[in-house]
Amino acid sequence: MSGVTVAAVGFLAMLVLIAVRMPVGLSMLVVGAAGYIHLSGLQPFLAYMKTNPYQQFSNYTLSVIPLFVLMGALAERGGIAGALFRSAESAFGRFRGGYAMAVIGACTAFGAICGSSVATTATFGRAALPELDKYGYDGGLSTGVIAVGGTLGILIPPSVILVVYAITTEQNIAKLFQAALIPGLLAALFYCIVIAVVARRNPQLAPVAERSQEPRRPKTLLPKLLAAALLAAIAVQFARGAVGLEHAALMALVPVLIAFVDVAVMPAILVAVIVVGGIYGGIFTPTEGAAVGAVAMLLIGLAQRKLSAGDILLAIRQTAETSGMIFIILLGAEVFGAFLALSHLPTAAAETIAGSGLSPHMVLVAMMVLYILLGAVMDELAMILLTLPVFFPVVQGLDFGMPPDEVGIWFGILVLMVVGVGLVAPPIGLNVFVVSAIAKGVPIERTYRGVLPFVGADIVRIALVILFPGTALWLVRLLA
Amino acid sequence: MSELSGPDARQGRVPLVVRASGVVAVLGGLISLATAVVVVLSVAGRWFRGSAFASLAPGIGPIDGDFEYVKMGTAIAVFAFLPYAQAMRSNIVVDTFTNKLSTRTVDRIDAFWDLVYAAMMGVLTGCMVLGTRDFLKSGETTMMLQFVVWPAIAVCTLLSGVLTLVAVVTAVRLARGQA
Repeated sequence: MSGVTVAAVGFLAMLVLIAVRMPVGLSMLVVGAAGYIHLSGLQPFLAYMKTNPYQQFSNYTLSVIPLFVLMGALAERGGIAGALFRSAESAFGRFRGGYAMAVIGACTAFGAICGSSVATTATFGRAALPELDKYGYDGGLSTGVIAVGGTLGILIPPSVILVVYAITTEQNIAKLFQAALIPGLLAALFYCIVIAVVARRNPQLAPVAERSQEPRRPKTLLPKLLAAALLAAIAVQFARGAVGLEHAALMALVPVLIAFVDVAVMPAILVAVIVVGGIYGGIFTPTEGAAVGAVAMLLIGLAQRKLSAGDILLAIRQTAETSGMIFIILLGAEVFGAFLALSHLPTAAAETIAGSGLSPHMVLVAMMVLYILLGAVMDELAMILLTLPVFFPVVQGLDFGMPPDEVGIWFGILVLMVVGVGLVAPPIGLNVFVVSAIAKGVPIERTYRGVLPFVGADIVRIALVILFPGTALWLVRLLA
Repeated sequence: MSELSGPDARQGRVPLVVRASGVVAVLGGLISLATAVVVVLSVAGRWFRGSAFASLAPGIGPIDGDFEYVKMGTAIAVFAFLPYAQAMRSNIVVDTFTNKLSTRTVDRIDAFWDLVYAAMMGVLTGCMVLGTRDFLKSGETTMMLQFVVWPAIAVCTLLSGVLTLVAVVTAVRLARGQA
């Protein structure tokens, strides 16, 4: 058997094993090991396993994963999500569907702190669902919005999925984080538009609350003044010609953010801005950013007296569980990837497809469709780790009229968005399960129905980013 | 905060294996946090050295070789997380094609895969023991800090052995229908 045939058999065997409930990481490990041994013998495999597991995990970049997960878990335990939601509520509440939009707005901000969609969904399921219920929102709309809002956890940087992509394809994490920002904000905008349309067509789903009788909290002017001062400073720098229009527009995002958030969540928002901004600006590496974020979130929680020792232990255990789950798949993917490399399947596939005369965009769209189909039956993280060793060289071999490293970044964002769809689309959709477990009164079918219009918006957004790679690459080029 | 997910939701009769691996996981998490603190201090030191006050305290600067602490700490933390993820059964499984089977059958299937996992990790632990011995013999050290490498690998090997044991225990519990 040629190496390529062996690899094909390996893929098939693995899919069968996964279908009969073998854990995904384990099946990659077992099939990878079997293939490795078949192609190069038992001794080389045992020698490879002697040091490889340690070498693979004693990795500077990899530390980003537990640290960002920990940062998110501490923010979750520290009650940041609830505060964000209340702050967004007072901004959006007066519109029809405004409370649902507030969920999206708060998820967007939380997405800049937390890199996991499941954590974001679970957090807002607890923080926002009872509120939406109180305002008389339809159950399916509420759960749907929270499931979809949860995907902003990965769509807005930092993002664990992007880190995994960066590690497996050896791309630059900072550039991937830069590229994700605009598509992520577009996602939030599209979700708000969908909410507005749905609420207009079917007003009983999202009643407008009569003017709240509760006494308004006294607002301090401080954030507004600070924001105005920052804006003025940026305007002055722009007028002096010290910064260009694009940079100035980018910097103006910060005061806008400050003007609209509650004082209580200001420290958390500032940490997110420092972490993501610092990584963008090359002030620190992603690992340093994640370390600063995790430590700062711990200190904020302690200073605000929101984190008890028990909360911290819980956050650490949650981090261990989530990271452990990711790392076992990474270990499996490493061994499976080594087997695939020995089989020469990735290079053969890349050459065949590059020489087939198919248009590069056709190939790309076919991959995206395949991802959406695969994502319907299997876990998204496993899906990308399984396919990237083959798909990535193929994509790199195609000519999109851009340098290969830009294609690598752009493809990463496309993969990220497809993963987002897979997290909410029927028949599985992890976020839907998570929110369903919290919303006992809403049948899961209604959540799926609530999610559907948003999936439509996702497809439009993916098409936009395919047609206009600049949506992802503009910021990368600007900051280069 | 309500605790709908996470270990505490299932509290009551927490199996020993979950509790023990939970302790290991927390230790791993603390190591991870400690490396984060080292990195933060290093970043702060670097910032200070670049600032106008650098001449006031020339001794303050970035921590040399901070990335070596990170690499070592991350590897140990990862291996400390794995047994807990297994004990909590949080490894990703696709149940699209098996969700019509009875709980009992599913438990038996899972018990079998846990045994396979234990076997795989047993082999891996064996390999890592040999790897540790190689590093012990060669006395290899890290580039910057001149740390001897083998103790870190030995800890990871030990934790990999713990993972093997945990997988055996979860397999037995599942087969007995205790999970």
